[in-house]
Amino acid sequence: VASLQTGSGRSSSTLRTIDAKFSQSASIIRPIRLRGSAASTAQAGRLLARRRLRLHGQPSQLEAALPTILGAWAASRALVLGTAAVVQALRWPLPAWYASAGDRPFAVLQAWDARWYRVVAARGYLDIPHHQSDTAFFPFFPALMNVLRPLGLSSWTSGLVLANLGLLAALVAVYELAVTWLPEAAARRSIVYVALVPLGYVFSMAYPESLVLAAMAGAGAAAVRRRWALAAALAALAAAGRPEGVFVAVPLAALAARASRAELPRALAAAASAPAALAAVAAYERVVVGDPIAFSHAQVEWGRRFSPLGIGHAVGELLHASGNNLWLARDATFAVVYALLLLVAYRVRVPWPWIVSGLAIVVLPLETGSFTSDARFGLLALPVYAGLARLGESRRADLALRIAMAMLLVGGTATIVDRWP
Amino acid sequence: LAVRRAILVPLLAAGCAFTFVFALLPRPSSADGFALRVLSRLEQLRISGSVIHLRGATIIARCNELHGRRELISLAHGGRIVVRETHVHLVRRQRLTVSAMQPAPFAAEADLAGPRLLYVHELIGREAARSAAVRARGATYLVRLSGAGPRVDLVVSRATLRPLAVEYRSRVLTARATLVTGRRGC
Repeated sequence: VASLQTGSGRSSSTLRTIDAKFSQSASIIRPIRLRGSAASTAQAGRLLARRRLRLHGQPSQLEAALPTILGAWAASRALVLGTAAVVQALRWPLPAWYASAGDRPFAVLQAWDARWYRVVAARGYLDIPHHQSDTAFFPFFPALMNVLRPLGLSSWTSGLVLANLGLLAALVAVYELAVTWLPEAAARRSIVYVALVPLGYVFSMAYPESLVLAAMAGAGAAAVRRRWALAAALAALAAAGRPEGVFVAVPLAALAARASRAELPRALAAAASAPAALAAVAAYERVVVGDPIAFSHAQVEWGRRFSPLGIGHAVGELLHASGNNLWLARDATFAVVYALLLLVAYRVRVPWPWIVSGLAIVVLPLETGSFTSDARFGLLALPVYAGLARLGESRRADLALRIAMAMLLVGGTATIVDRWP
Repeated sequence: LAVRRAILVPLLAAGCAFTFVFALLPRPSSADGFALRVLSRLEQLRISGSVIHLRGATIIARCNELHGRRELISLAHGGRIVVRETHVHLVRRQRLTVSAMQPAPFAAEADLAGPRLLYVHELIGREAARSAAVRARGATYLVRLSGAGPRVDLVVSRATLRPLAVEYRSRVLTARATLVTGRRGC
């Protein structure tokens, strides 16, 4: 298996078959050893011993991929943090912004929504009628920021620490999920692309995206491996962190539909955990500010309102901007690119429920009438990275993608002050 | 048992999520909550002007809302000030009482003349920063509108939260204005 897996991506279906058979045999061995006769127990013991020898002789897939994961994380974060430090030192591009932001390290990574999350962590929710309110921001991330307070970290610092460590966890989780969709080499490429994705500077800002990505991918990976309790917990965390997190319920429900009768209740429970956590967020906002969907109502003050003609309004807004608003064009371009990458992912046989989930993450925000921030929302559409991995199959394409994405990542980080992600 | 588990696990997840955020996030202070109620009351009514008491002089001020969420303040002795959000512009400089005494002056008259939208903006700014300050005084409450530089307090009725007066205090000037509410005005 190990020798096949280090080979080209063409043998992916063979590999997956072998992998599945290996999983089955491993699960069969234990019952024989526990329940069988002395002879069969001895035979199973030998099988196990041989298997252990083979397993311990070679590192596991994840162990083998860890250097890639750590390298991608460290290199991409060095790019982001380094760029943030340089632009802050140069007071670029808006010197006046830095005058108001103060001299905190990595102040640009604590801008925009990071300020709202910090206010929620420090002061809790307050729904100010007819005005932008912090109820629009989900509570999991600010609550987690408060967990780090006893360690002596300020809310500014804890947000950054959580986001950057969250990305490391996300890379591990995305790898574990991607190896169930793609050949191992492609799964490795996909985590490099997660780390280098142009809007990926958000994963270093005091935003919940990296943790939610980790939770969504982790829930999927756990569900594929039938670890339903873990999948339920991670799905709940995803939904409590960002509204997009609830869409992990789609692939979990599809996996539940294929589960055996014995597993079905646990699988259904895992799928229902994300909507249940969303309901918990609603209950919390009902208790604190008196409005269970305050998070949705607050969006109106940012000009977002769901309507059946929302996508039409979004396109109209884009056409009306007609080159005056390059940032809107950036968000629209990324939305289109994400959609195309989802199509590529579908063609490489990423399971369709994940494609549906990714489409919902990219397309549904457009129903609020704007492309604004869709480039950031789409970061959580996991099959996008599988699509990128497919495009980067040849060495030359992979190198070109890495260089282009790294440059865009640096450019995006340098212009955070200009426009919110 | 299996069906019960299918129901209980999501409930448990929801319960854990709720408990986690409930335990770790602070609740707004009572001052924040009270200031919100005052804000809500301010958005329901109009202030047509005020009677400013300033170093022994009494000045009548009228306030009218203009297009584009601007407010025009007309002082009885001829001065006119336009307020937009928290920005104050002098339109006609005629015998402004305070301008003679302060280099950046007409903000005091603007604060005292009853520009409702200015009060709303100042209160929202304090709420957004969670720095609402409320103090009881007799049958009224003093709600802090501005604390940086001059201190401006809105005096509201304890029973109805109706704005009654504004108090202005800086290093060189202390003044008070009685607000007139009505159907028209700012």
